[in-house]
Amino acid sequence: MTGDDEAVRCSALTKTFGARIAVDRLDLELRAGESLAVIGPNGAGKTTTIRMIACMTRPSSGSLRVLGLEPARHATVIRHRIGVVQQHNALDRELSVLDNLRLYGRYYGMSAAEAERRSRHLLDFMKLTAKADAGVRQLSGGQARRLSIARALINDPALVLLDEPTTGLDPQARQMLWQRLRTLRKRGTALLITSHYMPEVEQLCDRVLLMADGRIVTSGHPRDLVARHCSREVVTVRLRVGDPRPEPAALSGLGDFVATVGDRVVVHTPDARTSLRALGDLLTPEAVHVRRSSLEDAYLRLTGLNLTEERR
Amino acid sequence: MRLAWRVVEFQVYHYRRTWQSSVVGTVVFPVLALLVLGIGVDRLIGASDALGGIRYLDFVAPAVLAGTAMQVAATEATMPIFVGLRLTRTAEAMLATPIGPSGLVDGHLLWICLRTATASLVLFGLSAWLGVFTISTLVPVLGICLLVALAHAGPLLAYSVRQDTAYGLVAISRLFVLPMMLGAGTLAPVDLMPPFLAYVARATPLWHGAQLCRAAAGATMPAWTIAVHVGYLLAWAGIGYAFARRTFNRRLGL
Repeated sequence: MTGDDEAVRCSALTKTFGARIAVDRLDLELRAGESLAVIGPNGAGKTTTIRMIACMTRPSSGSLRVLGLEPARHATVIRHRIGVVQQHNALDRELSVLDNLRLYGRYYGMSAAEAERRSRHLLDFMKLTAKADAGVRQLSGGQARRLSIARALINDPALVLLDEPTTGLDPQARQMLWQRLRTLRKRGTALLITSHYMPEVEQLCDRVLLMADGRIVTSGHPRDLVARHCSREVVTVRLRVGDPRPEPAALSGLGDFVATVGDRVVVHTPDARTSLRALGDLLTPEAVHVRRSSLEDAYLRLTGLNLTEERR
Repeated sequence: MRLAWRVVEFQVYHYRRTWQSSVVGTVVFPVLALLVLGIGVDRLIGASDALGGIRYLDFVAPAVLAGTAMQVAATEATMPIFVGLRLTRTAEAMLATPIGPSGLVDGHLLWICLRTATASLVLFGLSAWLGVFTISTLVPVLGICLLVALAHAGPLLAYSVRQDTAYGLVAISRLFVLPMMLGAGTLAPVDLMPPFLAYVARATPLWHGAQLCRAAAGATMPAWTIAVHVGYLLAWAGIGYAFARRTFNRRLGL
């Protein structure tokens, strides 16, 4: 990676809070025009990673460069050139939509006229022009999220950090946001996205980094991760109410990976027909669903299908 | 400092929508206190020997000005910081911009100075109309009020940023701000208090601020005493500022 297109580079990056290790020796690279997803269960260290890159918390050890600069020495310069969309919209509910943007532009040292021009451009970009003079209280959840993302773009950033950008959005709003984020990427903006929504990651990201307990579990292109960690197909069988749960040993030969989750049996298999025939000999299912494996299957396989006590 | 003014710009925009909630505590209440204490109590007790023969109004009005400066600082350096960082998170959003933690501290202190100046102007005008101050003392009195506000604002900002719940802010208001407002030589001379409490009162920045305001109102005071009062407030303001910036940077940034 040359210095010119380096968006983020970190090596053995670690953050501890007392005895708890939030991020443990993280290695990460992101280039201009590239989109990287950091996924993982709650508490995996995704948000802490974003906060370190955004110069909002100090790494405990390791090296970190953002846009070729060290946050410890050049935090203000870095903040000038990045945009951050946090999990919470953090909009001022007492101000209008336009004022939220204009004032944010002023934090970057823009003149009043420049802040106004950029704000109106971003309202148009995010299809919020009709709401310019409305109060933030009057916005729907999707509109508020779009405004929050527009605000992060006010300084035309070279790197945008998005912490769960589409959580809670309806499908239309989500599609529209994805389109806007793809436009940004084509313009050369680097995107670092955390998400729990795997279709979003598959749609938007060139690479995925899966974290658990502060560490990288695996990384790669979404399709490669699926190919590497999942069989071709996934069979999900829902058991009838009251039927006994099958013994794990009895299911072990049904596919490459078999798990019982509540009243469902999940089978990762290269050949769904063969697995279904074998399942029919063992169970009387209430419903059967067969589909191609996805990033979500890889994610669940790597991080565990069940909600564990410590991650709850 | 240029970016700190952008924080003030945000505060002005925000204040235009929310001024009603704070103007009662920082302007209306002090004006009422000045009228009730300065006129009502003054008529009740008249010129007292304990006050050195001056009117009670001349004793209490300067302290109300200093106390209001402290009250403005306590109001603006506590709950708005807590709300902006923990509830609405608008202050946290600023941290991701060039404003950063240091700009947030500087901006809030500037805003506190502006709010103190406006509240002090109202009280100074009323006090001058009542004959406590002459117009020529406006600049020094404003300067003293700003110094009192800054002496309290820095430590309170540092305290507020460390709070995860609002209970700590309620405690500081009830255990420190209110007792100081009543007992730091504001409503009665500290010499009338039990010796231990008199020492405590003299250690508060508010007492030093009130004494300086009294000097501006014409109370006789040696120059070295004035220098000690100013130095004490400057020390609180300077150490408080450094402490606030350090705490903000450690808690919220790099």
